[in-house]
Amino acid sequence: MSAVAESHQRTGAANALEVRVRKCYATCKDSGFQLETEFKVLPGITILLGPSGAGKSTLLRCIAGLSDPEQGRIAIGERVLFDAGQRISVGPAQRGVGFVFQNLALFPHLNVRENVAYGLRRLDAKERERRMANILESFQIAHLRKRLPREISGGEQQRVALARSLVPEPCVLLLDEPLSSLDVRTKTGIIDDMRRWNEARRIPILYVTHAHEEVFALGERVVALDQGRIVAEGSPLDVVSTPRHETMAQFAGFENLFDATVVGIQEQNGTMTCRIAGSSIELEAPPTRVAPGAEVRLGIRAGDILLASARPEMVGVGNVISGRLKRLDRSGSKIEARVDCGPEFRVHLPPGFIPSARLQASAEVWMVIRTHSCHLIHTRHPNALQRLFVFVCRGEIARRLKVPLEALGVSGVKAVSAGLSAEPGAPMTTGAKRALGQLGIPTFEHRSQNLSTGLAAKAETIFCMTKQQQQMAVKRFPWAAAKVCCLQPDADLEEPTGVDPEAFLSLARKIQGLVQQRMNVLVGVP
Amino acid sequence: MDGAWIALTLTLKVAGWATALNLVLGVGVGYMLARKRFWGRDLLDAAFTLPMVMPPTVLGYYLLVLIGSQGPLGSWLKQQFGINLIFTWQGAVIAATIVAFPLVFKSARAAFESIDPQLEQAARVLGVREWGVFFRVSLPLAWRSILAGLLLAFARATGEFGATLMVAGSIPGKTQTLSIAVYEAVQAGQDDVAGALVLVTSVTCMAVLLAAGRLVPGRVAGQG
Repeated sequence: MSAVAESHQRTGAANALEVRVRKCYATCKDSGFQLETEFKVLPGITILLGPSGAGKSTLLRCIAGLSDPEQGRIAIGERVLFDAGQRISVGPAQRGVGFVFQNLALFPHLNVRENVAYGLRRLDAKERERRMANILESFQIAHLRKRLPREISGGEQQRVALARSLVPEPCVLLLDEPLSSLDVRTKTGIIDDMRRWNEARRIPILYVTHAHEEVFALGERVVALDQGRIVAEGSPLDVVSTPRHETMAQFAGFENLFDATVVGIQEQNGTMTCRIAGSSIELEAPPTRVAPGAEVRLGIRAGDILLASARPEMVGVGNVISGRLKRLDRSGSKIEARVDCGPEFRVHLPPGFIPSARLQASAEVWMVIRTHSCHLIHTRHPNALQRLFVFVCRGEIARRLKVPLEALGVSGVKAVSAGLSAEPGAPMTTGAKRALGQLGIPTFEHRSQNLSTGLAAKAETIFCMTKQQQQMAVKRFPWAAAKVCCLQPDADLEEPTGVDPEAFLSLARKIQGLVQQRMNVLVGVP
Repeated sequence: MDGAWIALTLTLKVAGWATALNLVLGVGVGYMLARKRFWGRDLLDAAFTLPMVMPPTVLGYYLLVLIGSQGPLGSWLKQQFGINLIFTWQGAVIAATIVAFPLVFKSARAAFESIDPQLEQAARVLGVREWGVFFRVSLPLAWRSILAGLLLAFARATGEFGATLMVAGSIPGKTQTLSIAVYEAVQAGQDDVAGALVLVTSVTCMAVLLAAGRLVPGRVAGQG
């Protein structure tokens, strides 16, 4: 059976990619550094982060079969792609791995259509047409099908390259910094399309980057690689905020990381005020798509903070904060000051700095931080590109509850309905499945009808129909209590007893109206 | 004038065969030198380039030594298959092939080297096997440069004189190509015949060069 057909059959069950490799570089003997890693890529997007020369591309090439490690094993689910011990090495053509190269590697002599169809030669014409129509539509490139790669824009080329790698339905997708040259807006659109495509398939996607901005926008998990070894692994926040390795701190770039709450948005100034958790320090940051009260995470680079020994009188600078100098650390040419003002700030001083009498330990100092030096690196819903709202209700109501997001013209927002009554992990009832289908929500998100831990963690707000449901949800997920609320705070939306279809319908309409109101407020639709 | 036409058809036959052989050999050697790493690669490249810089008569001499009835290859062919290449049009084809060979393999090698290896890797990852990669990615991308090289090789083979004369001689209607016929006509004082032959040769070469000019690599689709 061909790899393409085989991978096609595999799409039902998402398989994790397991990698254990050891590979010596050509210069290994001189530099003494080799690639030696072991990790697992689960379905969904995993970021492979690391500086240039960390071995990221080599690792991808090993997984794709373009180069072989000396030792190790690479497998997708049960299928072994490489095993040094058993002398197995499946050729790149048979691996069923999708690869998007850094320079995209679109075939310049073929038009968009031919490029995308390239990996489908072995399929019959009917199936090929079906998949082509589907993928061209999904990646919004149908209108470009007759154009040559050099005749379309960088973002469009990117879409074509992604479509070409995904259309043979690979069991794994590898991306080697393909988006690094695009602007944020284009990038976001493409990532959204890729995410949507993968929602139904749930294949592991390994995304290589050395840009830490992309980590928060993209990753569900992060694997950080340096000098051929894994130095950190976990959620984006874990990896960036707990730099266990010097290089990790460099990627993260943010020596100062604070949990903060949005206390106000000054639209006319284009700023947002955030209060650092556990203190009265307020910082002005650039505004973002969150409402007052939202919990955010602020990152400030130590090199972006100016230190003054007297109160500076400045105009329009953003933030001036006073504090006490705790100590000055000198390592090499780098001088780092620690300033205590409730939370502790780390400030890098220029290499030529000579400590003076006025800048000694426990001296009063002022920090100047420009608004745009405060980076909102993480909002409490980890998927920054998509906001998720969960509605807890019974399946029968969900069937008639059409969250009118499309009508609101809101993108990047997803509403999901979930239940509480069933045991966790119990299969979804056919009624609930049908209801979700009518809501236009793919059922893979709902293997269980329940409000799962993952769903609760991802959700920005969890709306319950009744107070009892609210209590149950809070009891089950005490850590999420802050975001659980009643859709109608003063009254229950109790499900009518009996089987009167009219009663159901009127309740569903009522809920729909309430949802629309609440969403208007939360999402900020004019 | 009949002589001129016979010489022209013979010349085109010899040059056509030489070009066809060079298509296979030149593209194969060019691809091998561009993509494979092996010991003696530079030496091989230099050896294959020699026919471009050496006087054709020297090449002809080497060929005579190799495929003449006393030569190692020639005597073997004679014994095994009863084939004699000296003073035949096939001998002229071999001479023309060797003289024109560097033009083809050089342009093929350059064309293959200018292809981004990632394009070939992308094809492999998309499920295409090695032969498929060569015929569906490498060759189409290198094709224009190779074609330009082949046309130059055809022109070179058409005008081939020294090595052909040494190996195939000058037998009218059998091995006497245009360039040799011109020489013979001038030697014999037949200025009108020589003039006609020169005109036919010039027009043929001009046509080939014009065709080659239309296929210069500058017109190849940009990569990426």
